[in-house]
Amino acid sequence: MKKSYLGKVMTMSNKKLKVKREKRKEKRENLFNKKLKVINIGIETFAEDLEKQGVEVVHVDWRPPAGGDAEILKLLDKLEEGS
Amino acid sequence: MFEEANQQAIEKIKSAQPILVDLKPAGNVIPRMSKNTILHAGPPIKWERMCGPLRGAVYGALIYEELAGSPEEAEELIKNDEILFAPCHEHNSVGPMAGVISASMPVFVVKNKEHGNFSYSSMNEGLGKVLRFGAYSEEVIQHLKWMEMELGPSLELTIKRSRGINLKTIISQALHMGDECHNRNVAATSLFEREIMAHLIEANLETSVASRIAKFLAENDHFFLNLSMAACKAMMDAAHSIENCTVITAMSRNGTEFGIRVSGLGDQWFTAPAPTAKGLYFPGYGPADANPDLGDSSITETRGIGGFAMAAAPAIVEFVGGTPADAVSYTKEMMNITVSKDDSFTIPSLDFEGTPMGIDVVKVLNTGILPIINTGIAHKNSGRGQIGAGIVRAPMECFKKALKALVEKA
Repeated sequence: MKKSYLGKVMTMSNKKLKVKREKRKEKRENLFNKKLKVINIGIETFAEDLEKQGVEVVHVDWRPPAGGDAEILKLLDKLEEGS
Repeated sequence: MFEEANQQAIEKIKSAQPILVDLKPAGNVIPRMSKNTILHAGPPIKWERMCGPLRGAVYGALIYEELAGSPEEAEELIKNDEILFAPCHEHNSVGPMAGVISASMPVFVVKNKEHGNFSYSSMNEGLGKVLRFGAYSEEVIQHLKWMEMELGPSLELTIKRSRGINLKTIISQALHMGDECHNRNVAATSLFEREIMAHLIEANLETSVASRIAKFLAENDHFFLNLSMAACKAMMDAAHSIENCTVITAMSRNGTEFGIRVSGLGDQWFTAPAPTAKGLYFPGYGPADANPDLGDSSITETRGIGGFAMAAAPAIVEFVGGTPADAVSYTKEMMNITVSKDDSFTIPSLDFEGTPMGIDVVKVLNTGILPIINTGIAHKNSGRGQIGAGIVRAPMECFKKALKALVEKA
């Protein structure tokens, strides 16, 4: 099987591909069959919902600078350059 | 450039020493105050845009000053441009809720002993039907007259006998006793009473007068609020008008708009629509009855107490909502948007960590964290009074406008 990757043509045998697929499956199963530990960044309600389901969550209070307002971000940069 | 200016502001705020030195009629002490001047809370606003509680307080003040006999006569005066409206802040003053101050009202005179500037605030009227929530009935006017004729002159004598009361010391102690000195002033009011009681007795007032005053103070847990506000105003004005400084020196609301002033941007206001508080309502009231946020009392948060010192006042959550853990989180959160921490105002439960002080416009915008304010909730109609208390965030728009002005000036 041929796969294009960063302009190079890479070849992978069916056997290798099968191994890879199985590893991915194993990882998935590991993820959902053991106790989840979650780091939630940003919207707190996501963390709250998981907590309600008994999932261990560490919430990181983060929000985009200036609420993501591009004009304000430019102004903040401008002010920083001038200081 | 900004860092140096901000540090200069912090030094001024930290070294300020607000001392209660006098109590006088507003017309005698507040700069540019005339018989037909009405000062109000928040940024400048025209009569047409004033909210219900502010209009009610204006009616009350004009009736109290005997410039009008009824709300209709008051409106007539206003429509004929015979009344001058101005923000308290532009006259070195502060007032809670509607914040209305007229010439005959006795005001506390606070001197910042370190830098020489003065600030003024109205006296707290107590709870129930009061002018600051827009009530203007006969009993409200009579109570204001009592404050002018009996309470004011008696406390003036008392304060003079005390040779000055250090308000910073009282705030500092009260923070160690469960107050945050905005929405909870139980300890601070008690400490103030303890400070003045001997002087009140030595003022040789008639026993019935002294007794009425002692009783009034004892029944009003919020008496110290206006003193806390005047103290914070004196401290923040010391840091105002420092070139290139991005520290906020006033946050205030008139019930229609929320406004901020920034040290390095002089006397300009940066405004946005006033938000409505989220909180707990008295029985029978709900969010639909609430007026948008109102009052100069957010000068306490501007100074780094009030909502910024909520960790010191876990019991306040019974009044404004939330849990004691939330109170701690608010204080810690505010540390992300301030330039420094206080040396004088500390929080025992946080290992005596200083309260966050010196809100920086740039930090607010960089983090997206908006200053938190503990606030009372007024009914949207004049004369109805307080209907709850809660928490509100300063609107982002004010900070965006201030940033644009900073960039233009830089």
